[in-house]
Amino acid sequence: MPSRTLVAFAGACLLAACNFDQAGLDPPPRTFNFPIAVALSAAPAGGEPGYLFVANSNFDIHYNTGSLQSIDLARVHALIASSCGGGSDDCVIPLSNDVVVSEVGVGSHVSGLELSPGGDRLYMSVRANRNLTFVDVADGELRCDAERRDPGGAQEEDIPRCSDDFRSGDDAIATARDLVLNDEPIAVATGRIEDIGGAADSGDFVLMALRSGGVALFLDRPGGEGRRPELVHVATGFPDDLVNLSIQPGTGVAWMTSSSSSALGRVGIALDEGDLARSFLFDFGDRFIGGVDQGDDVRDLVFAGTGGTAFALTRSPEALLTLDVERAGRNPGELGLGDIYEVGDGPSRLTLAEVGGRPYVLVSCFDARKIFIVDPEVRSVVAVVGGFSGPFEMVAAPHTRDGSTETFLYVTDFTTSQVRVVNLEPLTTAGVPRIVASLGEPITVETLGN
Amino acid sequence: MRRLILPSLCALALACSNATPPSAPATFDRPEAVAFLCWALDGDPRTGGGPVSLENCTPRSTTGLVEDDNGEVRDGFALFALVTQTATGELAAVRLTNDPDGVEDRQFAGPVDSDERLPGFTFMPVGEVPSAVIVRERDPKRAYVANRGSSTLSVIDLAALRKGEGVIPETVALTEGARPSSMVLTPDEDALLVALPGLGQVARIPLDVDGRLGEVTYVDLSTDVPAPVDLTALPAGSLPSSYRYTCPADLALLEPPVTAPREPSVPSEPTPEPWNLLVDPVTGEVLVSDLRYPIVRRLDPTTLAEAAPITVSVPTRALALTPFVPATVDAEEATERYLYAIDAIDRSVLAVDVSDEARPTYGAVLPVSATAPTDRLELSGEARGVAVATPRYDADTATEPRCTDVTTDADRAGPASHYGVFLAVAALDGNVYLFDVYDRDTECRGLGCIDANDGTPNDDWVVIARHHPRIGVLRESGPILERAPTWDSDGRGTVEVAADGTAGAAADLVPTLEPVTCATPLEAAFGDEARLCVLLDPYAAEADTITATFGGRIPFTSTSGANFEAGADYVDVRSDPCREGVIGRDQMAGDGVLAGYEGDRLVITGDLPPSILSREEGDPLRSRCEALVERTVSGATTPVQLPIVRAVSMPADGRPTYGGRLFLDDPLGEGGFTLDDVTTCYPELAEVEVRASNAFVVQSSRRGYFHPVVAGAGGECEVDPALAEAGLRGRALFGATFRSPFVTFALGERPPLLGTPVLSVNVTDVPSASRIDVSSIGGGTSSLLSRIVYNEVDERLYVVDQARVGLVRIRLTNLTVQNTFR
Repeated sequence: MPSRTLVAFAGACLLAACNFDQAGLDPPPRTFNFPIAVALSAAPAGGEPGYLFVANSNFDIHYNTGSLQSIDLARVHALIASSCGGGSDDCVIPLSNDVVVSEVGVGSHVSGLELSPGGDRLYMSVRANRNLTFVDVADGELRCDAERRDPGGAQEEDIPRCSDDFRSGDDAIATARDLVLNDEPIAVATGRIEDIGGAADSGDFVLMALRSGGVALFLDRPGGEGRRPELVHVATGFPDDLVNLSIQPGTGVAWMTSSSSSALGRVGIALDEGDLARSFLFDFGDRFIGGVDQGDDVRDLVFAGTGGTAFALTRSPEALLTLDVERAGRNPGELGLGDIYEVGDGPSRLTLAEVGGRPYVLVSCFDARKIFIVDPEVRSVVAVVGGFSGPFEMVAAPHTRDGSTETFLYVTDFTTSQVRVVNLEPLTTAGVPRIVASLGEPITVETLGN
Repeated sequence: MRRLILPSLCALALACSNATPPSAPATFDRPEAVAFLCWALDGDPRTGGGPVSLENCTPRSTTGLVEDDNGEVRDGFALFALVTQTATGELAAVRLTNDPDGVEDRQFAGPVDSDERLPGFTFMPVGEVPSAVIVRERDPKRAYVANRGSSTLSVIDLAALRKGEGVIPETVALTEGARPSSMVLTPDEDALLVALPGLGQVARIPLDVDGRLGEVTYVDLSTDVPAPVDLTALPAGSLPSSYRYTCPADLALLEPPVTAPREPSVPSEPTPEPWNLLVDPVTGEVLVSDLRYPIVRRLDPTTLAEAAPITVSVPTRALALTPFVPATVDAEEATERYLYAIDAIDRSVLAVDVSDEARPTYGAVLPVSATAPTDRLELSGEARGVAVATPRYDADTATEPRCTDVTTDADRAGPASHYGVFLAVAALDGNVYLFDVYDRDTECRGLGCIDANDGTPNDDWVVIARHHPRIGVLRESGPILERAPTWDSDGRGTVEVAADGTAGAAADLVPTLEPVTCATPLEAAFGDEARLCVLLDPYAAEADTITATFGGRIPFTSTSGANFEAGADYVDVRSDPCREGVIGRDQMAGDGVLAGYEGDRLVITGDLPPSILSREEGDPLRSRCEALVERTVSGATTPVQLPIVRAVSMPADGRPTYGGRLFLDDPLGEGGFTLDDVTTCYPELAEVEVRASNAFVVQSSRRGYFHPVVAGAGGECEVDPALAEAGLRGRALFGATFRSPFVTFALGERPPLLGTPVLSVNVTDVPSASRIDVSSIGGGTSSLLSRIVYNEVDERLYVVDQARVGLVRIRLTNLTVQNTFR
């Protein structure tokens, strides 16, 4: 039987611990923290993207926000050339001020990142915000009315945080329609309204997938400084456990992947040309992955070319499937299966890249810690790149140096909190691409408690 | 305290007895290709022996009895497999057999550590993405690996395989971008032939007596596509014979119809894309499949000169070839040979007659199925690999008596026992399916058809037919109707149809089933006279529920996004109505099997939209709309039905995200409502579906809904008379016979108290095909089968699962998974 003194002491300690004013740790600047998504800045006409945007998820809630950083790619490549002797797998490029040119806090658990068609705005799905988060971009500078949480506070350095106006869309129309966003945002996709039947220069649409089978439609119409995307509709009833969504080129239809279903949900946008605010989402009908064992865990989907062919990444089996969107499969609703490529454990994301004028499909395999590279023209896996710890999202871009252009892949390495840079050029000579640099010092899980 | 000391000391002693626990074996990482190797053991498990001719690894037992078939080879030898690992660029060596009574009784089957000096467990490094491996059978000094990723060949000295000191392969570069996909040895084993899809070429690399590589020769491939063999142009007597065995003997099987060959596909690009190589042991030629050209090429292995290719009309992937087999069950010599190939477009499997080049049927794609597509094997999955297995088969003695005076062996004759020639197909669904080519056990099968003393208990009903799935279980009967057809009318209960076609107590609610004539391939299945015809052929039938629903929904026409245009006489719908089978009143032809049909209806199934319901109660528009849908205070509505006048695929100037447009008439029912009322009441997207009018929608749970509607001129939906005649009708009418590929019946006149009845027919007892479910091995994970290989030496099938299971060793004498290695 504990004494009353002990009980009182324990109670006092508990009360002391319940300090509701604890703001948590501010994330240190120029540090990746479980980077989960990447995007490239818009390339100028005839040029190459100048910036890489990296979204940090703050997966372990170690800090009080996740962040978005803008990386100067010209500086990165200059350092690879100068400090790394052209590149090596043990070359680490510190995230100095001239590498990270801008960063802002956007909330924890970022799950998706997409650049607007005009290149002036980044859209994010952030689970902590439960709404569309967006940040304006100008020449690599991130703008979202950001302010430091505690200027002059105890912590020596902090990053400015986006204001609330940038963490949710305009809800005036949503309120009139009794629309509620009450699910976790999991992915975003965007396109021009004029590309799906709207008038010219009428702005962009943004689709935000919600984990439990919902999709929200935002319209980001021209409105000058301070414009906010308007939430105009939320449709539900799509497959549960959504992972990602991709817009089929030339249509107002987005395809969704689910980690618990072989159904590829499809959502269409019905534009009301007379009053865009009355536009709707509708269920365009599921298509199914059939014929494989079992195809019920699809992690990503990307359309190739004009949209007649799609690549789907499944974890059951762990394979990249080529889908013929036009050809029906064996059973009603199933898509025709094309080539199938084995990939490593835990396939997570895929992206397309052109190297030496030849298209490749790249697959990150989180558990296998590798990237599998498929050449669809010779219908083969042609290279497997190792050296990662937890590769996830990736993006490829050309970089020209001394008159020659090479293609680089930027890969978020989630578990070491780095971004790996891979030179894909060896593919042109049947070689194996390799990591040429890592951005940021590795932060392993073991060190997080320090 | 003393009680603890003794156990502690014991534990310490045990711990000290094995100071260096063995390293955990490496695991496969995306294995792909397999080759076999025989090793002579000399008692030293570390360095002992060396590779020897594969024929030394013959099975340990020579009795041929099933119970002795344990997979072990002769004393003093061990069988190995070499397996490429595509993710790591390695070659794994796996010991497949033990040596229980021989010189190395401590060795056990499993992966071999290629370099014991390194910590952990290692395989042999080769090139990037190794896709093919081969070893000379007669003089296995070296293993050759084709690396697809790095476009190289790796040569491994096999003598070092078991020394555990690592192996450094010799590397030979092929032309950049060659991307080798397949590799074979010439029949004399004096050269390698490599398919190079990246170049559209085949390479030949000579081997010297020590197995070293000579200079590489590259050869371009022809692009000529001869006309395919047309079996319909041949006299009936020259067509390939039919190999069938049934018990009862009078059991009729459907004969696959002989049809004209498919039009050869046009290559998407001019450069050939050779993919798979296969040596024909009879002619010595090398057969080459092509992913672009609809031909199988035939190459001379020495000169690489091409003989006339076999036109199969589609590009192909993997190939497999049978030995000579008897033409029929009663034939006295083995005269037939078949080439099987995987269609590169849809992964179906086709069979080609390659028995004799002098025959007119040589190179013909054979009819192998009674149901469409008739030129493809009845395979429920999509094929990724094929292999021909020949357990205990010798073409020279193929027709000798098999079961006479045999007891023990004959006792085991049954669906799971494989003695003869069989096709094994590794499918994407994780199964290995087996097909009959020639079963030497036929004379031991079927109680009532053989001497009962030689038979297998419960083996009453037997069907074995060439190119057909092997029936995998002992059976007493074939497919049947589960029970008489039933009617269910408006949820009032189920009534069985009587033999005279009436429905007893429900006679006023449902139509009668009238007598019909059953046309092949359907058979009479019910009635005092034939009143229902279904597929009962064991290969064509499917366990199925067939329903005919009065006023039923046309599948895939439901949408929550129908868009009524204010003031217009149409609605835009999501899916293409012609594709789904929707037809309008004005689009019906005056004659044909659907003559008199009044066209489909659009039915609004959802409630009024929020913009209407949010109006004040008593608002005139809201009141009018609520009257339209007969909305009650509880919110219940009655579907609004609008006759479809015309259905069209979406015009080019229509909404790009919609599939089609339905032109409508005023709604049915009372109240005098017009189409304008409907468009006014549904200013937002509406929930709709299309239903049949005064007709039954007939569907199969397995095959779906077949209809005759196509898009005609201007995208107008119309009935294609040829499709309707072929049985793709979709709708059954009163007083008419309904014929489809899977059911025939005739409905009587419209009953007086008709509601919304549903006729149901269940086909059951369909025999299941023989298969091995690889995905169920070891707890059930997803599988991705990549290769299937038959090893003649140990008479086993080897399947490679890239996902989880690894290399699967399958025993055929009693179909089971014997081992897995990974």
